[in-house]
Amino acid sequence: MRHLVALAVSSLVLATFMGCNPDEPVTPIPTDPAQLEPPAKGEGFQFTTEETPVPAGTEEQDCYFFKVSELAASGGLDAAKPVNLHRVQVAQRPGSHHLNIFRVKTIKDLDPAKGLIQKAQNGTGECFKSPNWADWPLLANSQQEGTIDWTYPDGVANVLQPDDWIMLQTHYVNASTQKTEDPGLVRVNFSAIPAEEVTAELGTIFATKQSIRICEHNPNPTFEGSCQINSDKPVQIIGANGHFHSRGTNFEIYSWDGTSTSTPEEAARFYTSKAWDDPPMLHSPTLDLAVPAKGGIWYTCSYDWQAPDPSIGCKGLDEYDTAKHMTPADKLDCCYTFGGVVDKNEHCNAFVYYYPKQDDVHCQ
Amino acid sequence: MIPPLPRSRWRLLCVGAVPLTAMLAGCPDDPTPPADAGPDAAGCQLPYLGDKAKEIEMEILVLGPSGSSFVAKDGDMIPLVFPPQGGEVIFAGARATNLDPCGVKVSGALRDIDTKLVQVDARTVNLDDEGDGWGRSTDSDIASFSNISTCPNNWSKTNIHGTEYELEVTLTDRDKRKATKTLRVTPFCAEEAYMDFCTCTCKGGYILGESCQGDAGAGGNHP
Repeated sequence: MRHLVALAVSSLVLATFMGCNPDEPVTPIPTDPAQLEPPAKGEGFQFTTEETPVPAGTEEQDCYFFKVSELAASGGLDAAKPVNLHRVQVAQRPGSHHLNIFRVKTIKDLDPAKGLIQKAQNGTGECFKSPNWADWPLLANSQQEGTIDWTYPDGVANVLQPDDWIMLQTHYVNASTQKTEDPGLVRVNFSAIPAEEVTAELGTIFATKQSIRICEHNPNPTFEGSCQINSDKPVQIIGANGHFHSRGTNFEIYSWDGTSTSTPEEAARFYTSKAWDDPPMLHSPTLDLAVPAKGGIWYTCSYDWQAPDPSIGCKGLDEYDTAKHMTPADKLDCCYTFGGVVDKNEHCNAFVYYYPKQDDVHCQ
Repeated sequence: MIPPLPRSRWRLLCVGAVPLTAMLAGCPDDPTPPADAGPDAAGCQLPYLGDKAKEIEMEILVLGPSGSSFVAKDGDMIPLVFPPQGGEVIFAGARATNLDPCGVKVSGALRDIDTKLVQVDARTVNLDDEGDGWGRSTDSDIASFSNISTCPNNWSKTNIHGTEYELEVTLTDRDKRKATKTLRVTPFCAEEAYMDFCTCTCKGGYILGESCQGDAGAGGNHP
């Protein structure tokens, strides 16, 4: 148990879950994470964050590490065997900007050996630096909406190995564009199915377009990219959402054939988000879409430039642009550029869940 | 937010920087626009380039590792560059005339000639006025070029370094007027410091996460 974060909650046998179909939630996910009951013993486990106050003017982004075998043991699963994740439940307090759960791969400067809980504020710290998790596959994500309860289609599982680390990243914002009144808190349930029931492994895509600029004199840009799934057979997309900050006006994801160079036709669009602070998390059974072999997804992010908060001003954006991107003085234009600080930066991130998992996915 | 990058090299892009222009004079610390100001009121005010009655004329610009672009021609060698976001990209932009330079969609694509599979990146930019009726992507701004991600090569069966591909750039202005140019080009690893990393991650059959000499693997430290 050396590596298990002490706050991981032990599973309990809950009469309310006994004898129920695990694919069907008995009750809605509670909006208060403290009320989220863990899975029944032997069916899964629960893990959680600390209660974290977020003072005004603060963006708190924290990274929590968990060892899969220890989480499995905490839930009464065999710690020596893979966890076949089949159902994800998330409850988070209001004020969350995003929640991401990754499977750790290449370790750079964000290392569980440096601490199982690594907190960061206002854009500073390793938990804010996306290159640290550049090749970490996404397991689950949520945004402002407080709860998720998603059971994958029959036989589909995200297979986690006992030696895997997973990283839960929370981002709470108490700034001009978003508020957090109570201390941040997240709880997550992972429920598993037996190995003999697994017929397809879930794959995930986390596409992020980093070379973006939303500027005063180019106020309505759209950035478009694609992800090609290198599969000789069609794959099934069962989950999607998009993420940008408060300048974002329209996020769209389309099915794509892998050979076309223009935005796909409207009929191919399967996801739209026009609310940056309440983007829909679309998932099965509502979303169950086949994309052709060698095809994938095409995503677009559109923006409407807004004057920055007076506490930042164009001066603040330009200073950031100069320091981060070495933009020449004559090209400074009060631009929002790629980054995780919501009042200063923008994002264009697409999250897609599909099966069967493929080794090669190339995103733009 | 930005991966380890060769800051000294990107700093070269700043050569030629001039003081803030009058363009920014209207950008105070608290630049709250008037309530009736729409996007265009605060947006691009650049004059039309060339003759609206004529078809758009265009050339493909490719940005090299030194921060200078050149007009690409059929049969050219095209540099693969290690960008701030990692991997290897082709920076493909354009110079053009007979179009509205404000909010031009620049869409760049690299196509595998055998399989027809393609990698595409598109973005909305303002073209810099050259003063002769032509506008262009800005050498000091990589976001004004399509960033066509080519490597890690987990999409094409052939080596991207040294193999002929199709490079396509399409411009679409605010009036939906469109022009496309397609060239046969040969991408090549252009930076000595990243040669091993580039040739390895750009090879046909590269497997994501495969370790390359001089690199800790995908997402690892670059030389």
